[in-house]
Amino acid sequence: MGKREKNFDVLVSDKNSIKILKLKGYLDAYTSLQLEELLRELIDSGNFKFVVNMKDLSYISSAGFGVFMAFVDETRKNKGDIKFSCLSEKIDEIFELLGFKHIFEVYKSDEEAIKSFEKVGSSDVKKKRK
Amino acid sequence: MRGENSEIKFLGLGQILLASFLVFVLLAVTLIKKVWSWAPFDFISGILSVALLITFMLIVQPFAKKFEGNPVEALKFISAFLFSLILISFVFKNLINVTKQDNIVVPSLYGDVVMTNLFSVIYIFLVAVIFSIFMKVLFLGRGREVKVKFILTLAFFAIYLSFTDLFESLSKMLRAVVFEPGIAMIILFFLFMWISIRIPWVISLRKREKYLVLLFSSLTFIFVIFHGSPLITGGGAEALRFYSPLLFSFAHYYFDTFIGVYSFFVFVSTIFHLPTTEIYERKVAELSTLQNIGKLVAQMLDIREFSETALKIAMEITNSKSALIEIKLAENEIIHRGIGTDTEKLKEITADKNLDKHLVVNFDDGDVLIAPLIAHGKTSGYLSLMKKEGGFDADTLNLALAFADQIAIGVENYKLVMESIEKERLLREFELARQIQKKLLPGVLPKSNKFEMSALSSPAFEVGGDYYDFVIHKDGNLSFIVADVSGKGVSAAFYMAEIKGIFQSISKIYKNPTEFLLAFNDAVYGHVDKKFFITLIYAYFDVKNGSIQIARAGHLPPIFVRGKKVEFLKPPGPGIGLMETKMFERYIKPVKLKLEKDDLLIFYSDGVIEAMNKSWEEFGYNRFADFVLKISEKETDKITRLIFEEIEKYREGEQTFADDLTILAIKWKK
Repeated sequence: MGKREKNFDVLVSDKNSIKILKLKGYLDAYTSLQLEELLRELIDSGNFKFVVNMKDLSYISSAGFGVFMAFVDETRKNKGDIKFSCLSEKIDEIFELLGFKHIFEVYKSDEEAIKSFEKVGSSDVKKKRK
Repeated sequence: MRGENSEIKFLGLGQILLASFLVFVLLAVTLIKKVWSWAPFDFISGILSVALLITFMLIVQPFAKKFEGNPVEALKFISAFLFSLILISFVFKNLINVTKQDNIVVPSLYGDVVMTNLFSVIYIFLVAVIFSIFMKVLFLGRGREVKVKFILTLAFFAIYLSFTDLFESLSKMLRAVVFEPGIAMIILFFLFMWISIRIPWVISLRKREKYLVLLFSSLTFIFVIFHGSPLITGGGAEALRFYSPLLFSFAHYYFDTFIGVYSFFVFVSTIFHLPTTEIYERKVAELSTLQNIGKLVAQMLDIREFSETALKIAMEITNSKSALIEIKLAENEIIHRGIGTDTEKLKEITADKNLDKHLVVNFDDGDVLIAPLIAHGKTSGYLSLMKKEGGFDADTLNLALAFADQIAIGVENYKLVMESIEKERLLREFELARQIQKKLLPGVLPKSNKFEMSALSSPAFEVGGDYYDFVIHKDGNLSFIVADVSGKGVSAAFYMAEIKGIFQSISKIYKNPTEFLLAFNDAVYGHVDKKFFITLIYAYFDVKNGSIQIARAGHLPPIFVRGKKVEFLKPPGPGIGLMETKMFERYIKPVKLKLEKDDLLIFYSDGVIEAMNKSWEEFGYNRFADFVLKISEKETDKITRLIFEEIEKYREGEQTFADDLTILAIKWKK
């Protein structure tokens, strides 16, 4: 009987200055430290737009949500945001129960999430022109 | 103590008085001898001068004692004093005029006699010093055997003397019966060789000391030869012979020969032992290193003392002049220690060096060795040593590196010990936090004939984030809460304590669930770390009217069982602390239930739903609902316990993902 491990992994990719984080595995009080560190680094190096893909995320604890809460204000202050995509049914329900959907934008796919950033970006430009 | 001291002083004073007395008598005797040369005068002056020599030797004993066990210094002083002896003889040779009188050499004038006295007293004093020191060297490391041999040499010298003109009548008799004086001299020579053949102290000398001994013993040998040469001491020696024939014989036949033979043997023996020096030194060093490592281990718990001792040992075993050690315990805890005169220079040299491997840097006339302290693949600092005069040879280098490894292991062990102490401390703190947390939960739940109420809570780790509590209002109605703080451990326990405070105070003012949640959110939002948020269920239980209002803030939906129907109540409401109260207000919608007999409400934490079995399946809502329905007719006490047991059973002993578990059940009886 092998011991199960709390595997957690993040795959980072770029698309038009948007960082796409593909989460995988088990995001709990312990593995969330790893995600927190990663986000801290990315934000410190000037990235403020994030799409978090949760397709392969099998579990998220309240501490996992806490990580996003910790950074969302900072990204928004810098004209960025944290958006979510591809929630599994289970995680979608947790989003619903926690009321996270009132705080974060949730999309069906990465593309939609990225597009939503572009809209905000162009409207910003328009505002500036005015 | 004081008494002893004055006694010694008194003794010293007596000796000096005796010496002065002897000096004056000798002056008188020699002056008379100048006028009236009579053989017994020679005998008297001989005895007196030997007495003077012995007195001087007693006077210089405290000085000679300094050379006990220090043969190198002793030889150095012997050669130095011998040199001054020669110098003095040379100077006085030109100051004293001698003339031959009936085949006997005598000082020309009375002034020369006085000069002779002056010279002789100095001469005897120097001989006393040299011979005293010499005896310390001779007796070093040897037992009675050497004393016996020494007395034998004196005895033979006495026999030899009896052949000389000094004891003319006796000499004639002996010469007739036994042998020539030359043979006695040869026998004495062999006795000196016999006594000098064993020189035990040479073996244990360090290499440098051996070179010094070679130098001093050869100087001593050369000076002894010079001393015997008439070219250098000529007139002086003749004057001395006039002063005391016995002393002259002693100085030239016994003293010179003995010291000459001995220094020769020291020289040869040292050369003979030179190749074994390294081995001997290594053995001694290894032994002392072993002892020192023992000392190091004893200082394991004081890293500062440890580094100091390590430095001293490193310097000792490598014979370095300066040493520097740096031990990095943590990111901002670095220990620096330096010993010796050149530590600043060492620091400079070491500063910009890469410390993956050891490094030898040439510096002035020596080397600087920088050895990283590596144990278990981790570098925890460095040791640098400065060695002058030739620098590090291969063996010393290996010894130093091996020792650096020892230090590194010591440092690593120290860290481990400290870590386990820290761990122990943390464990105790955790235990404390757990106990505090336990006290935060209510000890007894309210009892009534109208309802049953039971609760069960088991934290997953030492400290969990689950919390439940209640307040009984003045009108007998109840408010209760089931909450979960994000995160775990001590910080979660802190927030739990905060929730208790907020709940206990706010629920008394704002009984209404919506008002309560708004006030709660106000108290939390923006006041705690953004990472933390709280999910909770708040219920206001109107016991008189048999109704209950339930507000949910992000928490798992409570289960409601009526008859054979089971339902999850999901009144909308986001978690506490996620957003501003203004925004929060928009989303809260409590639910109100009019209770009927045997209605069952169960509030719980995510440990119930998320409990996992070995094949990664969660216990889930459906399984939970089904199980609750099965046992809903039992008492709440049993219900909570059965749910707990069912979850334990479901987990199949799998504890890896065990979460906090809280179950609170209420059953309406009326």
